[in-house]
Amino acid sequence: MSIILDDDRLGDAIRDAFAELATTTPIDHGIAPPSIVTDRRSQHPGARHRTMLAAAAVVIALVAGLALLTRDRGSEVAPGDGGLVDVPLYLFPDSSGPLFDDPLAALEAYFDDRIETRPPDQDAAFRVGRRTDDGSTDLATVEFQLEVRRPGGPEIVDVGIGIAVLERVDGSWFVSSARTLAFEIDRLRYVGGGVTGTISPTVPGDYMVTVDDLGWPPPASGETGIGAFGYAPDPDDTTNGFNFGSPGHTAPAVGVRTWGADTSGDLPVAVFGEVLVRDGQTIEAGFDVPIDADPVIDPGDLSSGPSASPLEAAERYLSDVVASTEELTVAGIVSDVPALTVAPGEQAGRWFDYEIDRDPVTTAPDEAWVRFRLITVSGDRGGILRLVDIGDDGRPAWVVTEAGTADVHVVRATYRDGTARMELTSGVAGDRWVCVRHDDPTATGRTCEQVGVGAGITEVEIDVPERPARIAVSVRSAPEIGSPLTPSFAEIGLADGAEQGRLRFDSLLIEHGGGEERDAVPSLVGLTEGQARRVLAEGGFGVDVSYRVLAPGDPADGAVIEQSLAPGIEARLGTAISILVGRATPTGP
Amino acid sequence: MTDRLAGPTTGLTGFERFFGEHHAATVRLAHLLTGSAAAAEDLAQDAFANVLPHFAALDNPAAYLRTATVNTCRSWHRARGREQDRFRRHGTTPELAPTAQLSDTSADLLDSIRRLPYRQQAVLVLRYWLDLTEVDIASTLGCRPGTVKSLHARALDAIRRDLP
Repeated sequence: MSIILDDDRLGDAIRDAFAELATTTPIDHGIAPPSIVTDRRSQHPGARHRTMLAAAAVVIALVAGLALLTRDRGSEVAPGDGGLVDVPLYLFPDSSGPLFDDPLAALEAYFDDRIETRPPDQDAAFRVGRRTDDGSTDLATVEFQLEVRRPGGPEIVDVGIGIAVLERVDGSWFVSSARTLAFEIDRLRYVGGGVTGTISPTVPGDYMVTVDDLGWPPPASGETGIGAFGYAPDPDDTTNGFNFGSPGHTAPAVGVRTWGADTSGDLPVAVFGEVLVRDGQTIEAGFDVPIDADPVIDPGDLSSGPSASPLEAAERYLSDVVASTEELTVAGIVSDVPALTVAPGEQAGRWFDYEIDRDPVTTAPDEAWVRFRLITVSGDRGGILRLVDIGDDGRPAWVVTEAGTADVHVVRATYRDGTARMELTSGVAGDRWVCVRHDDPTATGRTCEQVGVGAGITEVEIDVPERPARIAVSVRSAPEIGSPLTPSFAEIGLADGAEQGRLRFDSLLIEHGGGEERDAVPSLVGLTEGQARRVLAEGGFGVDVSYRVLAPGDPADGAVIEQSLAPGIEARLGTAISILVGRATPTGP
Repeated sequence: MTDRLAGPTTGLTGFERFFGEHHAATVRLAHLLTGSAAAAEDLAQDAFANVLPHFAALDNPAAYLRTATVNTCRSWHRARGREQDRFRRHGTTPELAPTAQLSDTSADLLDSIRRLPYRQQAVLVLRYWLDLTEVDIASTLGCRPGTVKSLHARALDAIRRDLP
């Protein structure tokens, strides 16, 4: 074809090409239009259930199954799942037409129905988060959070974070699976007794809890260690998720769970630590977790072949990791524990994406380093790849030979009053990802640069609130470029005045460990947005407002339809309560 | 000027009638926006499904449908782009859908258009297939008319450079 320089002639040629192509479009003239979308949330539950009669048997069976699962801590969405437990698919009775044109709405309805099936003494709430995919039209992944208050024994609020996968079938979104990735024990409250806790490995990949001098009533016959939460990695273990302690326990000092060990015991074990709070006072208890875990991601077998550049090799390697890895390795989260070191890794989760530093550091003609960050639903994880050029015929052939990931280092310091200062040594890798958060709303989520701490800045200044408070500092460190792959880290000093410590970090989390205040979440449904905002502000909560489009004239127009945390659930003051407000206004496509 | 996706929008008796009036045109539009005859029918259905919840309240459902179709096809391109990236990372070349039986001139032009960024493709389709004005194209794409002009000029330049 000859080159067409004139716009008009080129436009005519394009027009002709489109017309020609359009003649080849297959048109199915017998296809039916999509059915009317029914917003199930706008119906009364009773009316909605009446429409389900046609599939009542299926629903009842599911409900019964769910109720049983609710009582079975070995398999329900409860602490000890170790995550990755499939939640049964909720079968909508009417599959002939679309029910939801939005995956978030479909997931909300899914959990709404699940919550309704819980025993009445189990208070629960859910919160649907954001989509974590790229907006595909037929497959969506959505974050969610479940909160469950368990009856009896200690007052416990479990918080589970997970991912739901939704598929679009015949124009409607359906939940195909929902899994929790991590279930935290948010709070334990008990009376009496001093607490000490130890954890000792018994077999590779398995940990037992030994807790002494607990103040709870002795366990009933046949029970062991009620409230001692430890979770064996074996899903067939009937004690999984419950009664993990040895006989003689009367209450837990710590909640511990383990998971991630495969049958060969090669994988590290995740450990989750918790503290008990009694009468508002933090128990000075903690534990050390000896984990002999390999901090290195298996670089794999090079099956994808060598690459022309370090960056390409890094991309291919991390792409494979993200695509093939479901379970991270080691977890460790501890609050208010005097000193705890968990290495390596952080919260377990499923890897979904990665970022790489586009500027590889070359330390030899055939050696380079590429920093990366794995992005999970439950947090990010920094690390570094070592790449080597193995080409021997003059052509580059880069492969990943080592992949180091980050450490977790948790330190707590006590403050009395005044201004705390912490000096950080500069010149470290990872400073571009630095962020600082503490419970000052004006600083939460801001980067170090935004609060005056940027790359190369050597000092962090923290304004301690008026009342005495403990401040816990957790530092997630990443290996420095060129450093040994087993990451090293240094103690962080925090005290009145200043202490110094060497840091290699990619994030810095500062949070108040003392003086935490909670209150019951107020009832908001039915209030106007303004009223809800006012009630939340007066109660000391934040607010996060989203809107749902309603049909014109819907009585819920302008009113709060849902709230993220159920009324009565105690939440930390300052927590943002999400409210969904109805609006009878059509939106754009 | 022929508005191939306008049709009667007043006096609608219902969504089914609207569907019947616009279905074929929407499938063709999706075909031109994606180059995939196989995906066009599904994408058109998705676009109609997006219109349906708002249909009763829309002043101009045809325009809404047009925008929904463009957006739906954009999502298709994104998903396909990710898929092709993965193929490339693993050393394989994604297979392209077989080109329909077209003249050499049209086939070359369409191949060249397929290599353009999606927004540039969309501008060409909306202008040369639907005969929309720059203002209407801007409204459909959610950008300013000046951006449409720029996208159009860049698209033509790229095609000129690309043509054999």
